[in-house]
Amino acid sequence: MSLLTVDALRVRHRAVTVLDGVSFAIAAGESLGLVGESGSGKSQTALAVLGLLPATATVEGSIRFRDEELRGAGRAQLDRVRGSRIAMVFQDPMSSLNPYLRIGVQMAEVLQQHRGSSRAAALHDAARLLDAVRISDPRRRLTQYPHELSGGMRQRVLIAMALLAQPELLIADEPTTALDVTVQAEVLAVLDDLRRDLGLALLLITHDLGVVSGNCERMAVMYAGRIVEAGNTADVLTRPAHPYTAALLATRPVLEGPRPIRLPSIAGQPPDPARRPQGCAFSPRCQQVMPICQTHAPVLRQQRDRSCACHVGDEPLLPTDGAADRNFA
Amino acid sequence: MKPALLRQPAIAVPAAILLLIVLLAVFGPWLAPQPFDAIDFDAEWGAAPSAAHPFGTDDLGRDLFARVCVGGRLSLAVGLVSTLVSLAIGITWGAVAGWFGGRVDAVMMRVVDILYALPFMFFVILLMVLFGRHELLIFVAIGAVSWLDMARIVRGQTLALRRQPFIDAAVVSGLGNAAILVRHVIPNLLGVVIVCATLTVPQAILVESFLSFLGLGIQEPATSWGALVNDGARAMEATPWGLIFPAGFLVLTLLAFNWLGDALRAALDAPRR
Ligand SMILES: Nc1ncnc2c1ncn2[C@@H]1O[C@H](COP(=O)(O)OP(=O)(O)O)[C@@H](O)[C@H]1O
Ligand SMILES: [Mg+2]
Repeated sequence: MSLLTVDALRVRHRAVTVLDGVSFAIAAGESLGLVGESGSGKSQTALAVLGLLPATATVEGSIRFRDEELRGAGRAQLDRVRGSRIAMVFQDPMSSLNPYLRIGVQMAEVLQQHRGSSRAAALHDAARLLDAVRISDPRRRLTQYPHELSGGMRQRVLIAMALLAQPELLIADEPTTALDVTVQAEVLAVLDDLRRDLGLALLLITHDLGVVSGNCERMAVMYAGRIVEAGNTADVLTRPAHPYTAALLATRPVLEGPRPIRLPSIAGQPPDPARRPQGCAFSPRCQQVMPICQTHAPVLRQQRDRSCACHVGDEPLLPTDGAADRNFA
Repeated sequence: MKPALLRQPAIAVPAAILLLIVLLAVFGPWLAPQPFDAIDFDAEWGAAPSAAHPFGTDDLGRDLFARVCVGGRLSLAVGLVSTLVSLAIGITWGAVAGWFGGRVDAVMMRVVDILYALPFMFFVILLMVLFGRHELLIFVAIGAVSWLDMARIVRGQTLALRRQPFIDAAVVSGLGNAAILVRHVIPNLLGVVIVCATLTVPQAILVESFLSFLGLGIQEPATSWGALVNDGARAMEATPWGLIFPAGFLVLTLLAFNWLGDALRAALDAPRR
């Protein structure tokens, strides 16, 4: 059974539809990478799951965590789930910590809230987790203020903090985008180890295909507020079914080694969510565009272990030449 | 807040001036030749400053130095108490309005707007006339006016803070509203609150002085700087020191608070690193 099931999620900000029927599921202990260009709706998806969208946003569809419906849940219900069962790590480690509170105080607070732990017990657990995210001298770190730590260290503190109450699902929204490349690799390694050790499910949001290929069992590709393709990571990367995924891969420079590479740009711009083209949102940029693409939006259809939303995919899955033999370390 | 702040002359100088004034107000009466309400029958009434009476005497032969110190106690106390009242009400009101937003915010801020629009001085004067000149009434009246600015500023800051990632992080970690407000929002308002409080003190002192100047404030023989200025102004030509000393302290105090507030604002606005 799935841990988190998002079904036909639509999010509107007044007249602007930013998510237009997003569906995916994450099983317990599984890692799902959510990829897409900036503005495709990845963060909106995460915020919707956690009930963090502004009160003025309209949210439709279903967000089930185990057997609890989270869409439209009240503050009290959300507070029970957030932190203790679903935790989140944000993109910017510099501003995600309260500058006025010591690391230890901020970490302990979470446990005092969810477990009713004493301050001393909470600090003990906090130190243990700092150790788990490979922060040296955790006891001393607990007494420091955020500005005394480097960016990579703060992000590891945030990961430790997110895992304190032993959640079942961790949502990480571009957790390494704000960090140096070398630090990125370190933080991702910590995340991956912890996930395996703790049997944690992970929703990893990124625009970096390298990050997905290294850290996620399954991946979903978002475009203009929709998931256009989803499947096993290795499969999708070697045999992309959607022209958008293929384009992402095709324009990706082939470099040796495991260095993460930013998504290259594809000709044209992603559509403004306020003025989405009729039919398939990718059609204006698509190399394989057909007449039907400009009139009818394709639906996401599942074929064995792969889903794809493309009229081209109405035929059996396209083996996209050239992409198959690339190396996605 | 930080010792480093006191190393900036723009902050250290007004802070030092205020410290001296406070020390003088607190300990000055013991140094004075006679109690503030005692009459020196040996000295000339309305005597000029001399070794015996450094600030001279007033037209009843009371030592002006003692009276300026004691008046300072009251003026400073009014400033302090009203500021505390305004802090308590203003922070609570503003933070709750800003945090919950929406309808709660709209209603709470309309209340502030309405209170702003009322001619407060007029009401205070009316109350004083109706209920007599009660010291408590002065405190309440001034406190009631001065929290409005605080509430507006705190609300604005809370709205801005709500968009900070660490507040989102606190929300997703499952902390409740009260915990977030007390632990994460209010401590981060400290900078603006300190600045605003520093600027509220002189306002309150000024309002009290104004009331006293109109003869509606503090009652004889107790006194405040405003009341002393009022007395002094009446005999301005004959005994100018009766006006100069209390007015000088009043102005210096107001200026020092305003300097300090501006300097603190400049210092706290500078990017934190
Ligand atoms: N409050 C809002 N009102 C209108 N549009 C919004 C709002 N918040 C986000 N958007 C739009 O939603 C789209 C998706 O944003 P987001 O989920 O942050 O993208 P990303 O995939 O880069 O995380 C963007 O085009 C953004 O401009
Ligand atoms: Mg984003």
